[in-house]
Amino acid sequence: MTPSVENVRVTSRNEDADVAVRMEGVDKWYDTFQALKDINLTVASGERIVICGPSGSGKSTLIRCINQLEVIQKGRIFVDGIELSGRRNIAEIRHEVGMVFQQFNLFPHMTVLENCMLAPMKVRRASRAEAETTARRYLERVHIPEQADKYPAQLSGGQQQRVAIARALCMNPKVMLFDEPTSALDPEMVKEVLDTMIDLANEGMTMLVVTHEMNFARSVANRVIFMDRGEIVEAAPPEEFFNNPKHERTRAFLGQIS
Amino acid sequence: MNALKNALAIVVGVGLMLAGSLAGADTLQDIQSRGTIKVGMLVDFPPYGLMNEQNQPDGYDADVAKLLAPDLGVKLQLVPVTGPNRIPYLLSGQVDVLVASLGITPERAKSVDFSEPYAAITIAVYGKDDEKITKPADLAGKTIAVARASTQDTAVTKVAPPSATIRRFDSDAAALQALMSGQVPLIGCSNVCYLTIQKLAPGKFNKKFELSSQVQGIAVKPGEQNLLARINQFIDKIKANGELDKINEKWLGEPMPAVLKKK
Amino acid sequence: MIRQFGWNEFELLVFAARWTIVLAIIAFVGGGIGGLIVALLRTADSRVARTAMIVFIRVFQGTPLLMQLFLAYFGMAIFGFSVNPLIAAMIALTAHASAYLGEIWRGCIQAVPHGQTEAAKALGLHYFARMRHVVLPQAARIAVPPTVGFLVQLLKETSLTSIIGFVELTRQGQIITSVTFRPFLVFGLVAAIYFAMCWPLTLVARWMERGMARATNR
Ligand SMILES: Nc1ncnc2c1ncn2[C@@H]1O[C@H](COP(=O)(O)OP(=O)(O)OP(=O)(O)O)[C@@H](O)[C@H]1O
Ligand SMILES: [Mg+2]
Repeated sequence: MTPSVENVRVTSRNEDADVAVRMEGVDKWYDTFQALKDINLTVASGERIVICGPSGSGKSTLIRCINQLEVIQKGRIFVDGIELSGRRNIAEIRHEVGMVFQQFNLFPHMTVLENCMLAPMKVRRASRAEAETTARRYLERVHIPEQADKYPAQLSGGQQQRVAIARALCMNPKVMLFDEPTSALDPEMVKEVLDTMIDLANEGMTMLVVTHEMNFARSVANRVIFMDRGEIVEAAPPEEFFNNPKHERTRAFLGQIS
Repeated sequence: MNALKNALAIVVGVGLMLAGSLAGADTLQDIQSRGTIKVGMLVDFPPYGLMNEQNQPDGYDADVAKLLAPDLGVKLQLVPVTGPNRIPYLLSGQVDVLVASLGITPERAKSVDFSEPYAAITIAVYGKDDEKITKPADLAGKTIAVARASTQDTAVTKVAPPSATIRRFDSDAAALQALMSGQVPLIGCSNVCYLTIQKLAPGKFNKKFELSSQVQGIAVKPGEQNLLARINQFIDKIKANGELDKINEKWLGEPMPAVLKKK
Repeated sequence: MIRQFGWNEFELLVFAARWTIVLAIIAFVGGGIGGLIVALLRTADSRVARTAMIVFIRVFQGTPLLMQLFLAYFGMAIFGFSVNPLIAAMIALTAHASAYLGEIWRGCIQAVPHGQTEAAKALGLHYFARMRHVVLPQAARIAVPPTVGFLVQLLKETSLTSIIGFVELTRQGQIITSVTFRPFLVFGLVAAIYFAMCWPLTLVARWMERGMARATNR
């Protein structure tokens, strides 16, 4: 008899009591193109990780694998001690992982409030009143309670992205993924979104952030990860990463962006 | 596994029974056991088939069908069909027979079986009452109107003596107009067209002689020998007892045409 | 033989229009349900479902409705299933409308940005909630004009059911013309009655479009 999945899960849960995300030997192909190569990464609960690297290096792919927006071909991924295993627990995982996209992806036909209430009501089966209370609380936290009854198209980019953050938080996730959350914003709006993310970090949220905002990385990240051609080339605390990069490719990349 | 085999056996059995019942079907028996005959007829081909003021199928074909049903001792169900779908209606068994102005042609005889003719569209020479004409030779020196390139044009041209003048018009309506206005004393046209003439000028024009005719038969599914024999018996009867004459008088304003008489 | 065109004939036309309406409603309802299923399967993850729907769409878009009606009625009768013409019309009209609406709606579903689906997935919404609350409401907005265009066409196409014995508006017009010899009058009226049936559809469409535009474009 092979050990049942249940056994494996229980064991890993015990071992990883304070591990939020763990990736072991993950490979990802798009047809014949390998987008991720042997990714090994452990993110502790409450840890803030910033992922950077050149375009096409696999940053988005990596974080999208964590909530199964992409399917991996090899390796294992655990979220909050639960192993991703195809369709079976996909819903379970997504409850625990919030995601914020570069393009906001708010639902244009719903008000801000409805955007925030939809998932708690449909997924968590919250009552309308509960969902609304939660939604208003998080809109307060991202400093736009007064926009609750507007439609996304009536908001500025920065406001829309803060709604997107609030919408994700309403599901009460354990981990938040950010894929270049400020790249589509006008410069004057970047700060309001970053401030919101810093607040979140201060509250102890586990975060994986793909971004080119190196100041944010310096001040918020516990660890900075540099990716190139589908591989994690270097992972280090910000001081070490920026002041004393070990790898040639990292140095070249840092030279380019600063 | 066994259940599957049994199911298969049942399906095959039912299939064979169905096929058998199709092959050996006797529509006459079906009609009699059902107590109703389903007759397909046109409703947009007056005076043979039409819808009357009460929106009921009527006309020559309807009257023939109304005699056929009691002759078989069953009730009548008239099913309106159209030119394009009448043969599918018959072949798929939606109707038992067609009394639908179906001209007897060799092509159609390949897909359905025809009874003896029960109706005909005749092409004839009609003219003023006082014109003494009974045969083609009498047309010598006369003027006759026809619709250009129609069946009647061909027929008249074939039999008219050289001294006859054939005036060709664009349509039956135009030829008819010429007759009415007295431009020509004679016309070559169908019996249906002659109906209009009588309506417009009752009693002024009569039939001189027939040129040709397209006979129509009652159609049954191929191989329905019993039904066909029974229908032929019926047609003989109504031809003999004058009922078909009455129908012709009623709808076409003249007795049964000669082509229906000869056997 | 020649009959005057009178009130009686006009009434017959109007009564025949009821069949046109009944057949159109059958086609709209059947096609609406069928089309939604086709559109969803056509955009599903399963390759088998997608391929099956492509075949279905190709078959029913690639053959004339007249033939579909013909086969549904006479074809089944030949195999010993005596189908009621209404059932045959229901089958053929539903299949025909499902294929067309399915393809129209597939396009509308695919026109909704993929990011919408991803955001819904990331929030943990399962397939039906995603479709019901996120994708379809957005697809519906762009679907209104082509859908109504098709429905108007479909309403007129119900005249083809005369092949299986329905005396609907067009057929009744032909029958009345054959005894009244007034084709211009009769078909003029037939056209006017069709117009009177299609016009409200376009009005409803405009009203729906405006309503939806208000909900999203403030
Ligand atoms: N759906 C896809 N099909 C095929 N190839 C893809 C797909 N998505 C991404 N790729 C490829 O995988 C590689 C990694 O893509 P990814 O989006 O993860 O890069 P990235 O690091 O996020 O880049 P960027 O900074 O431009 O967002 C790229 O070469 C990209 O072309
Ligand atoms: Mg990216």
